[in-house]
Amino acid sequence: EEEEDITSYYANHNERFNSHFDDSGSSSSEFSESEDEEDLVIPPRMESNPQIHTQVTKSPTTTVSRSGSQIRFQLPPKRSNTTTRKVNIPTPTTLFSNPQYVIHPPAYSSLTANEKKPSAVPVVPVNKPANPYANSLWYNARGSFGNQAIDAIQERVQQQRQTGSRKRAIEEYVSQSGSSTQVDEAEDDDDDSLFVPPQRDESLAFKKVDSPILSKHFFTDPSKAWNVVDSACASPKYKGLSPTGEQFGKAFKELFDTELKYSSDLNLIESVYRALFKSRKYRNVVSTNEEKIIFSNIASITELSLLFLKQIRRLLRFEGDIFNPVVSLSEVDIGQLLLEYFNRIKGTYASYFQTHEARIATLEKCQRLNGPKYEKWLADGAYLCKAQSDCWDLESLLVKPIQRVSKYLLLLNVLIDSVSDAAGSQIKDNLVNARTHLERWLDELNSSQRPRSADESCDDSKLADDPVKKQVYEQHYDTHQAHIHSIDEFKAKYSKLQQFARSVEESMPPMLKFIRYQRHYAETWHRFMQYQEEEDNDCEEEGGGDEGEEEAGNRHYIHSVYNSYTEKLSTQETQTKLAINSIHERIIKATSLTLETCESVRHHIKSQTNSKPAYLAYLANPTKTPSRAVQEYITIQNQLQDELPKLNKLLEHFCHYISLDYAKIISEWLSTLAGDKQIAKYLDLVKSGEFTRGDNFDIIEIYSAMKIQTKEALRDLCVDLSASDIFVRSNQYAQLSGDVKGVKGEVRISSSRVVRRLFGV
Amino acid sequence: MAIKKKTLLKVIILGDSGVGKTSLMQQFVNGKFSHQYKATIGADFLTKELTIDDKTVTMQIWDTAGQERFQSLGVAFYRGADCCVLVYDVTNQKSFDNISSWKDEFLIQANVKDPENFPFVIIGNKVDVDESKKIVTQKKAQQYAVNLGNLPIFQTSAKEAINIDQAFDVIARNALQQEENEEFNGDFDDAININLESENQGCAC
Repeated sequence: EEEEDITSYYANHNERFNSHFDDSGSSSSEFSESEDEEDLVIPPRMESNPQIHTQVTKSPTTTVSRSGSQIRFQLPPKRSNTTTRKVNIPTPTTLFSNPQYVIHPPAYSSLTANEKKPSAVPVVPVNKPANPYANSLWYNARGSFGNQAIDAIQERVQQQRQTGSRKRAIEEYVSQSGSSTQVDEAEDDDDDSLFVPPQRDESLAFKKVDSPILSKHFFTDPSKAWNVVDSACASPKYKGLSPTGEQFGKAFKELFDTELKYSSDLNLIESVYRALFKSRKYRNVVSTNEEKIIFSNIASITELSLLFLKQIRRLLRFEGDIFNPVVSLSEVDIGQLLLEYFNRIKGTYASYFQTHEARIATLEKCQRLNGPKYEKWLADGAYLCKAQSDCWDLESLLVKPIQRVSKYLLLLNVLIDSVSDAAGSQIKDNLVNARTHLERWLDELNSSQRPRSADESCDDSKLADDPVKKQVYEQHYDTHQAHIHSIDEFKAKYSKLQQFARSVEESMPPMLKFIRYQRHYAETWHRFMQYQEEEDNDCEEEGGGDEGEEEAGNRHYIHSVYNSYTEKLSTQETQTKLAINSIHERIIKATSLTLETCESVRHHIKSQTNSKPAYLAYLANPTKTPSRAVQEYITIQNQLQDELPKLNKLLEHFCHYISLDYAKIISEWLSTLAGDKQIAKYLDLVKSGEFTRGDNFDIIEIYSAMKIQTKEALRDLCVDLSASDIFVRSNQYAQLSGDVKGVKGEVRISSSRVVRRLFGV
Repeated sequence: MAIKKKTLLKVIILGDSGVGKTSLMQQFVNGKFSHQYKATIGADFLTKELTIDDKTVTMQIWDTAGQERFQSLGVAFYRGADCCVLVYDVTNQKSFDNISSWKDEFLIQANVKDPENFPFVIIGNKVDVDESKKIVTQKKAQQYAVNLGNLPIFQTSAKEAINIDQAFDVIARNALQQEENEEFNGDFDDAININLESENQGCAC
């Protein structure tokens, strides 16, 4: 009988059996492992099990072998493993060396032959080629056919259990041979698993991810080269614990797993805590500057970590999710990869470390000064993170990069200790290289950090003396000063702009008035001439009538001069109206829009000033429940701090363009009145410095002088002025707007050369 | 809303490398001890919810494995700790001798407000080994703990889960006490004398 076979085989080939275990690597430990990994996806590795060699395989035909591999995927791999293994233990050792049989074991067919499988069990026809996904689909897609097959197998197993044949055989074997407990354990575990029905519900609930690295078997799989190593351990530390290769695999896995966890944790900082600031609720709870200090370069650290993970995956040749172990772990030059990684992260981490104290101090400061919403933000962030990590408060998350670098050293130590000699000296050298490199770098980091001296911390007033904290508070004070400054700047700009708008508006009616005045002049002149004519006529009528013809010619001349002049005046009036219109459209409207915006900002500043007493009270007594005004104050403060400098800059540009635009409109208007030549002449005069404002300066003269002055003023404006220049600049503005006002407001028409020229005086 | 009461207790585990810090944490939080493969890193932080006198607190335990030699980096970890656990190995005399230097190290780095009364707990790990292997006797250790300022001391084994829960119960209580003390005399120093007055000028507009 078969049981006899087993026992006699074990008795006779005990020694060979053991050596077989050595040959096949850690297959026994793999089995003991697999028992507590019910929910892991185990890729079908029938071919990897060296024990599946039956009598049948002595004459293997291709058909048999194919049917075997087909049906294999209808069964959970573990089950089929154990079943066939049990049956086929008495294997001629000669076959081990023959890879041909190892590759295609006719597992199921042998089972059918030996066990006299009930005919009720249908052979499920599956025409698909073997693929790793068949395994995971199996649970969902087996249908009633599959269920029947499972039931049949369970029934059969149950029968076997009742007869207890196998157990007895093993017990006998154990008592006879007293072999290694490892084998015994493995057998026992297998035995148990036989009677455990597949936990279908669990497997359905479990989200299957077919990444091989997620499976523990990836690192302990005996078929992989990295696990098939000698049991001689390089390090005395791990001697006797487990085979070296497995140790290396596990250390490798730990490196990968912890890196995965690390990067996902880091991601929380950006995706949860920072993202909350973008929401309406938490906007402006901290200022942009504070946000920058708190988060600094955490994003790039996260990205570096992800890149590292990607490189590991690439190194192991995982293409997508497909299990494609082209490279064995012992051939992987992880040392080189780590070395590259360390070199890459150096700068980023160093700056992160250096800013860390400031970061913590800023967090502390915000806690104290940024009011209740800041607390709420931390609490909300923690709540959101809690679901995704076991480390959820911001401060712990922010420490992670610092913790992580020192952990690399521990991992490297284990990797170096457990790397197999078979791996080749290059790989080991690289690992050692990486370690020395890391050690040196960490020492550098360690010494670059300001070590806290003992007397410094023993000081009672240490909190106030802490230079970093002091620095942060000083910074806060500085930003506060800058904030006050920018408010002042804004106020100055605002009032200047208001003045400008007012003077522009005032300048418009005189322009029209000027034309109308001239028309009035012309009319008066015409009337005067006509009157003189009549008087002359009266005189001449008395004297004689021969001059009548001459008089008529004179009248005609006067008439034509008057008509052409009024015509010209009316065109100019239209032009003036157009100019006024464009001033209105382009200058006044834009300015009033800007002023409106400024008004709302001013309103904010005012309400902040109103809520300041509440904030001061809160600062004096932070334990007291802060009122809404406090939060309002802080929010406005942060918003202003962020946006006011920008607004100031924009206002500056606006003033620049609006005055240029105004100058352009006025110049166009003047050229319609006096001609381009005249204006150009004056401009040249002003430029060369020969221009002197005479007694009877007219608007064109003033305009050209003003234009040069404006240009100079604007050139100064374009340069970023330091704060001390503000007053100088505002003086220039005053001058500028004064000039504008002067031109329009004090047009002295009577003494104007334009008028004189127009009148031909 | 008043400043929310923090129920997160931060506990730091310190000690020489190899004394079993990670194992202690693992045993306490997960109730596991691995013979086969000892995780090198474990978790950076482990958290466990505890109920102490009807109060539910979350204990966050920080493993410092690997950070022993980089002292200046430690500042970041020690900050805000509520209790510090000093671990030594009963089979390792040197790890025991280093206890006091770990304590000093912590006090220097952590910047605690009241160093005299900061709670420390000493743990002698690996008591499961044969008596013959034990180098640091319980008596000697107890005397030492008294000298260090009457610190509570526990003889534990992460492997056999001996005394672990008792030790961490005391740790949690001490941490909670510390937390409450800190809150009570939380001084809001005037390092923030912001000159708000300079802003106090009327609107020029």
